[in-house]
Amino acid sequence: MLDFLLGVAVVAAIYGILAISLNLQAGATGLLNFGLVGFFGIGAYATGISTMHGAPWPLGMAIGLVLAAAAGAAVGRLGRTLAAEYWAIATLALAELLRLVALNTDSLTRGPQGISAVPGFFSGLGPQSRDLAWLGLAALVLALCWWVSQRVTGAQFGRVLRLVREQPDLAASLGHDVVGAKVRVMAISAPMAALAGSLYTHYISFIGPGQLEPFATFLVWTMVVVGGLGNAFGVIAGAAIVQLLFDVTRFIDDVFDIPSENAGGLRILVVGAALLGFLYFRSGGLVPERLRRIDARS
Amino acid sequence: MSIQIRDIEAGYVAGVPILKGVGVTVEDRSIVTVLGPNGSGKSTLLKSIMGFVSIWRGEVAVDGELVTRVPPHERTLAHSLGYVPQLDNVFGPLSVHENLEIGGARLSRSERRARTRELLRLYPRLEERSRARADSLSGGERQMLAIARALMTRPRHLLLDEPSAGLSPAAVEQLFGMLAEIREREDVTILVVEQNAAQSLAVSDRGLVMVTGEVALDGDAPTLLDDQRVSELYLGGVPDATPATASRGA
Repeated sequence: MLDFLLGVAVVAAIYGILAISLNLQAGATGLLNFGLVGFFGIGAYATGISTMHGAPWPLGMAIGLVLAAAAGAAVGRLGRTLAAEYWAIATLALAELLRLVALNTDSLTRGPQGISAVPGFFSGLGPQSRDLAWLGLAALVLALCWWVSQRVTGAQFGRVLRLVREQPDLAASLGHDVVGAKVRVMAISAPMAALAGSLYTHYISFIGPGQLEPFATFLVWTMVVVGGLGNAFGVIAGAAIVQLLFDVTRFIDDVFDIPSENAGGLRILVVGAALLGFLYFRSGGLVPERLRRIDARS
Repeated sequence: MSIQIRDIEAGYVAGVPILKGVGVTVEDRSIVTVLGPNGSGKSTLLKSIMGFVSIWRGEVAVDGELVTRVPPHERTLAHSLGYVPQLDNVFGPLSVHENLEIGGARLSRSERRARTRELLRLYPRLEERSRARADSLSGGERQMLAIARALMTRPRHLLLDEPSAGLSPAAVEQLFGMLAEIREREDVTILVVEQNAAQSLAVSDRGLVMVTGEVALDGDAPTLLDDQRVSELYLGGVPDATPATASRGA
C-alpha cells in the first residue's frame, strides 16, 4: 500500500510540474494549449534518445529544456497570425505531429516499441527508499517550478499577462507587446513541461509514443480546472487529487467486477466526469484564482 | 499634420471591408468628432489607426510617419497614441490606482509614480476612490479612469471610442468638459467617436459623419451642428446627396 501511495505521489508531483506549466500558459496568460504533451514529449524523448546513445543524463535533460524553450517560443509566435481558438487547435495538431514522428521514426525513437531501459536515479537504494528519494526530488523540482511561476505572475509582468489574457487590445494600446509576452511565457513554461517529461522518463525508465496521446494533455487540463485555473497552489492540489483518483480507479474492475478491457475506458470516464463536474458546479476550481487582495472601500 | 488616413480599405474578415476608401486628416491639437449610425465603421476607423484591424489598401500616417505596418504596441509608444476602447476599458479587478499604474507600465518607476499622483490630483473623484476596485466605479468614473490611464504616458494623440455611451446626462456633460480641458492642458489631438452629436460637436473643431464605411460629411463643427442632414445620418438615414457641401474626406 505504501509503495502504491509513494508511486502515486511521485507521478502526482511530476504532473504537478505539468500543471504549473499549463497554468502559466492558460491560467495567467489565457493561452489555451491543447498540445502540452508535445513539450512533455520533447523532454522525454531528448532524455530517452540521449541516454540511449550513452550521453550523461544532465545532457539529455538540458537538450530537452533548450529544445522545449525554442519550440515554446516558436509556438507562441504563431499567436501573431492565429486567433486564440485557431492557436489552440494548432497546438493540438503540433503535439499530434510530434507523436506521429515519434511513432514512425524507428531509427531515432525506436518507433512504436519506444525507448526502454532509460537509466533511473537512486538505483542503489531499495524500492521504498528509492521512491522516497524520487518523491523528494520531484517535490523539489515542483517547488522550484512553483517559485518560478510565482516570480513570473507576481511581478509587474504578471499584471501585464493578466491584462493580455483579459483585454489584449487594451494591453497593446498601453504599449505592451502582446505577442512578445506570450512568447516569453511559452519560452518559460514549455521547459517546465519538458523537465516533467525528462523526470518521468527517468522514473519509469521508458518513453513511447503511447505516452504522448492527447489524453495526457486533457488529464493535466482536468488537474488545472479541478485545482483552480490561475492559482499555482490550487493546480498542484488538483494534480494530487486527480492523479490519486486516476490511480485508485485502476482497481475499479476488481471492486465492481467489471471486465478489465472496459475498466480503462471507465477510468477516463471518471476523469471526464470530474472535469465536467467542476466546470459546471465550481468553475473556479477548489482554490480559485485570487487576482489580488484589493481594499474595496470607496 | 497630426493624423492622416489616406484612402484606406480595412476590415476584420478578408473580402469584407468595413472601411471603403476612407480619407481623414486630423489637424494637430484639434478635437475631431466622428459621427454615424451603428455599423458605419466609426470604431473600425480608430482601430485602423491603432493597428487592431487589417488594412488592405491605403495608408495611415502619424505626424508624417507611416505606421500602417507598425505593430500596435509600437504605434502606442513610438507615435504617442493613447486609446480608450468603448467596452471593457478598465481592468476591473485592479484598483483605480493600479489601473493608472498599469497605464504607465512603460515609464520609469519614479515617472510612473509622479504621473499617477498628478492625474489623481487633477481628478479628485478618482483620488477619493483610488483604492476601490475599478469594477465598482460608476460609468462616468470608469470613463474618467480610462481616459486618465490613457494619459499616463502623455500621448500627443488621444483616440476615444464612444466615451459617453451609457452615461447619465450629468456625466456626459462632465465628460465633454473634461475633453476640452485635456486638449488645453495636455496639448493633445483628440479624435472621438460619438453618438452624442450635439455635445461632442460643441467641444470639437471639426466633425465627420460616416455612413456604411465611407465619409459622407466632413466639415467644421459649427457647420455640421447646423446641418439638417447630420441628424438624418445620425439616425441611420442616407443623405439625399453625397458627398455633402462640406468638404469630403481630406
